[in-house]
Parts: sequence; structure tokens; C-alpha cells
Amino acid sequence: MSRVVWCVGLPKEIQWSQSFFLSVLIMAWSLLLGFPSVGWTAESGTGFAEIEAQLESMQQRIESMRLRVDGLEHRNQDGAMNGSGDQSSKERYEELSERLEAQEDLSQELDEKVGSRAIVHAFDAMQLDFGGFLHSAFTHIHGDQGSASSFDRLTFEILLKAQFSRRFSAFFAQAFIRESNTRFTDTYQRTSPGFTFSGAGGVKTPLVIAWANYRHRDELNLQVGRYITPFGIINIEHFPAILLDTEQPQFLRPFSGDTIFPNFITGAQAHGKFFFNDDTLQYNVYTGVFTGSTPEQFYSGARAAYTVGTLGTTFGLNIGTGKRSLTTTAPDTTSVAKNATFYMYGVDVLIDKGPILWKTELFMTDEDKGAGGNRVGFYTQPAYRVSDQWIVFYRYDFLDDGKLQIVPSSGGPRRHTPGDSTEHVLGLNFLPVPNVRLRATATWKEFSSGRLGAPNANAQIFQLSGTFSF
Amino acid sequence: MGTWDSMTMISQSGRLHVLRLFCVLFVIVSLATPCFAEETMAIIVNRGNPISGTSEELNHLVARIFLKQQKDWPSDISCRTYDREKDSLEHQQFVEHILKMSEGRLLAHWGKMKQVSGETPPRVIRSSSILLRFIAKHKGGIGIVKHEEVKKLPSSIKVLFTF
Repeated sequence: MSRVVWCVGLPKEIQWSQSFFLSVLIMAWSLLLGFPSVGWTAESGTGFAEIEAQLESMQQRIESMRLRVDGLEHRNQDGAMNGSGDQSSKERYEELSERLEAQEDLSQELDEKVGSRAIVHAFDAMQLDFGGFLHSAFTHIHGDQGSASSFDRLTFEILLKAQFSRRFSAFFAQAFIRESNTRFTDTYQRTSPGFTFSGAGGVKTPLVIAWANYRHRDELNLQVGRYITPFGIINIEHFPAILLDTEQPQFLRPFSGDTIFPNFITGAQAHGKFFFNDDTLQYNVYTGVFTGSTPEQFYSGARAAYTVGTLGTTFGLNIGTGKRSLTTTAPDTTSVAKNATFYMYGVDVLIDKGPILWKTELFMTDEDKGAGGNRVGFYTQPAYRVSDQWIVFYRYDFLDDGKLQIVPSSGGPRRHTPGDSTEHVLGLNFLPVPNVRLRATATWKEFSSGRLGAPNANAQIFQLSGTFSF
Repeated sequence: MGTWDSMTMISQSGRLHVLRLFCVLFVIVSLATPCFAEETMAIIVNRGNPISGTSEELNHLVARIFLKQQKDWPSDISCRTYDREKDSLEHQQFVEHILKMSEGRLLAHWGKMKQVSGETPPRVIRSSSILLRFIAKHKGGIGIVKHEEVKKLPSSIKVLFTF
């Protein structure tokens, strides 16, 4: 109402423009107020149709996106598969590289070993292994009546093993020896030490071992040829490269002798092993001739040894019988004893557990009266492995040699036996490398009763030795 | 006040007991931990070898075969033993856990075998893949591989046991 009054009093142009703006304002307001009326119209059937159309469009888009994602996933999977393929190729490449490197190393090593040299072939063996050792010793003896020193041992031995087939094999040991034996030159061989060459100028070339073996199974092997008599522990080990002491126990001296039993025989044997979880039973049954005796004199025996794995201990039983060919002038007999039969019994115990290596053997013989008194050999040798390089040991060694004055039929320097003797040996082994064994030993030797009229005597023996094997 | 002190002392004593118990448990658990060490090596043989047995029996058998004390499998198949390089983990673990000896003792064993009967140590194979080829080829073949290499074994080779 006041506006109308205000307009009546203004000019026409101003009134028109006012009317114009007013109408515009009214229209704008009307329009503003009119939107809701448009919305409401959307709730009609036409509005729902639009929404449904939009939803349908959205669903189509979602479906299309889903298909696209599926496509991408397939692509990814294909990609992953391609990746594993790459990985597989990489692994194969690495494997081939490794094999190639190994082959190159091998061929390089072979080239270094063989080079332009000729390759040795065995005529007909599947495998031929060749080895050997050099053994040398220096000995100083201090007796009740004098002293003596010598480089008394030099042994070069070649070992050869040929494998003919799965079941047949052969083993050879050919020795070349330059040595002298310890000998006490007084009547009773007890007080005046010295050395004397054995054989011609101390040179010997014995065929130590030469056997052929048929292995039916581990439980049954048949062997023919010349072999180490399978008795006790040290005689079987035999080779200087694996022995702690330069000198074997007294009952195994002299080399290739038969003080208690022959060290080697030529003949045949059956041997084998039975396995019981961690335990092992080993046996040997054999017969043959002792090459130091007459060719018709047989020596036969058997050995059984049971190893308890958990204890690292082996118990051995030995029996044997044979004939000796000896010329005796024993105090209780004046007749010459040839083909004298003897029986031999022995037990041995080996403990090889951790740092302990303990060998003990006891052997006794029952001799024909004509061959003199019975013989007894006993030693016990505890050793301690300080490390893989250092080993210390002690040995108590007793021998009753039958109280004989003996000249072996094969000849040699032993014109008399010294009677009972005891040795206390203290030794040290050093292995700078596994194939080299250096030894230092000190022996206190005691000659006691055993020969009529022989006084007791002592001797000290110091030895340095080395064994170099390959 | 006296009651409060005694309660405090009881409380401290209880804490000490708990602390001691914790220490004891910690020590036990620490000592027990090596028992859970994972097996890292596997002894493999040709699948044509019908050997079977308890873990202990197989362990002893493999040791004897490796040391060439036994030359045939119980099924009369000739053994073909392959070793790994001296510095390899396979060889070292085998010597320690199966042979249960030091490297020096092992070398002494081969020295003795060589001198007494002419036996030589098993052939050394450097590459696992070459080892697998040998074992696949020979029915009596036996060798050592790492546990993670087991998944790569061809069908002609099987795992005898792990350690």
C-alpha cells in the first residue's frame, strides 16, 4: 500500500522501471517457488522412468567395468604366469651354469693332473687304484754294555687294487726294504746292543700281499693268494701308515716271522660280515702255508669279532693250529724239532670311541715238547687322540718266547731267543697332514728270567720315524 | 604399621619368586630351543631301490655304506656312494650327524681302508644336478642334497630320510 503511494508521486519513466524490476522480482520469486512444483512432478510416472533409465545405465556401466576388471585380472594372471616362466627359466639357467662350472672345474683339474702326459690304462679292470708309502726310522739303543744308533728302517711299498667286476677284485702290496734288525750281541742277547742287516745287505723285496677276492655278498667272500693272517688287531692293520708305533708288538716281530703265529700265509680264506643295526659280526676261516716254513706245512685258523657300535668296542676270538719247522737246542731238549705241531688261542679287545683308541691282545701257544716251551704274548696299548693331528699312547708289552735257542729254517740272524722281555713304550704321533705320520717313541725294555744262566738286563730305545703315504 | 610392613615384605617375596620362576623358565626354554632345529639335509636314493626301515636303521645302514664297510644294499644291489665337496655344508653335516665323527677321523678311516684292502673314498660330486643324474642312472646310487633341493628331484629319485 505504501509502495503504491510512493509510485504515484514519481515520474513515468521511473514508474516504468520500478514496475519492470518489480515484475522481474515477482517472476524470479515465482520461479524459485516453482521448482518444488517441478520436483513434485518428477514423482510422477515419468520421473521414475528416468531414474530407472539412469539405474539401468549405471548397471550397464558397472557390468562393463566388471568385464573390464575381469579382463585385467586375466591379463594379470597371464602376466604372473609369464613371470613364473621367467623364474623357471632363471632357475634352469642357474642350474646349467652350476653344472657348466662344475664341468669346467673338473676338466681344468684333469688337465692339471694329466696335461700332455700319457694316461695309464688297465688291461681289463673296471677300476685300478694305485698307492703306496715310504717308511723310515732312526733308532738309538742304550744297553747295559754300550749303545748303538742307526737309520734302521727304509721301506717303500706299492699298493695296487684292481676291480675286475662287481664281485671280483685283487689287491697287491710289493715292498722294497732296506733295513737292519736290532740285535744284542752278547751270549744271552740282552746287554750289548747293535744292528745287523737282514737279508743280503739289508735289502729285501718281498711280495707282502697278493690276493684275489670273490664277493658273493657282504656275508660271504672267498679269497685266494697271499694275505695277512687275520689274527688280532695290529697284525690285520699291519701297515706302518696306520700304526702308532714304529715297532709292532714283540709277538709280531720279526717282520714275516712266526713267533706266535705266521704274520702272512699263502692259501685261501672265507670271510664276511653280518650287520645287526649298529653292531657287526665279522668272521675269517682260513688255511695256508707259511712261506717261512717248508711248503707242505699248513697253518689253519679262524677268527670271529663282534663290534658293539654304541660302545665302539670290538671283541675278538682267535684259534689256530699249524706246524713249525725249527731247529732247536732248547735247554730241556737236544733233539731237532721239525714239523712240530702247535695250537694257538687268542683274544683281543679294541675300543675306538671318541678320543680313546685302546688295543689289547693276548695270545698263547701250546707247543709240542720237542719245540720247547709254550709261548705267551700280551700287550695293552691305550692311546688318546688329543686332536686330529696329535695322538699320545702308552704300551705295556710282554713276551715269553718259549725259552728257545732257535734258528729259523729260512735263515736270518736270530740264532738265539732272548727269553722273557717286557717293554714300556711311551709315544707321540703328529700328523701335519693326514698322509704324513711322524712319531717319537721311548721304550724301556726289561729282560727277565727265561733263559738259564741269563742275567736280568735293561735297555732304553729311542726312535724317530715317519711314514708318508699316498 | 607392622602388619603393613609384613604385607609389603610378603608382596616383595612373591615378586622375587615370580622373577626366579621366570628366570628358570627362560633357561629351560633357551636350552630346549636347539631341539626345534630344522632338518636341513636329505639322503636321496634311486627310486628303484626298495630299501626301507626305521630312521635309526637307515641311519646306521647309510653310515656303513658310505664308509664302504657294507658294499651291497640289503636287496643285493651294489652300492654306489657319492660324496659332496669337503667344504660343502652337505658333507660337513653328513659327517657330523650321520657318521658322527670328525673330518680327521674320517680321513684316518680312509687311510686304513686304503692300506688294508685298497678301498678308496666315495667319488666327490660338486653339482647337485650332476649328482641327481648319477643317482637316477644307477640303481644303487646314494647321495646328499640340501633339503630345499628335494622339490627339484626327478621322479626317478626318492628321499630316504632327512636330517
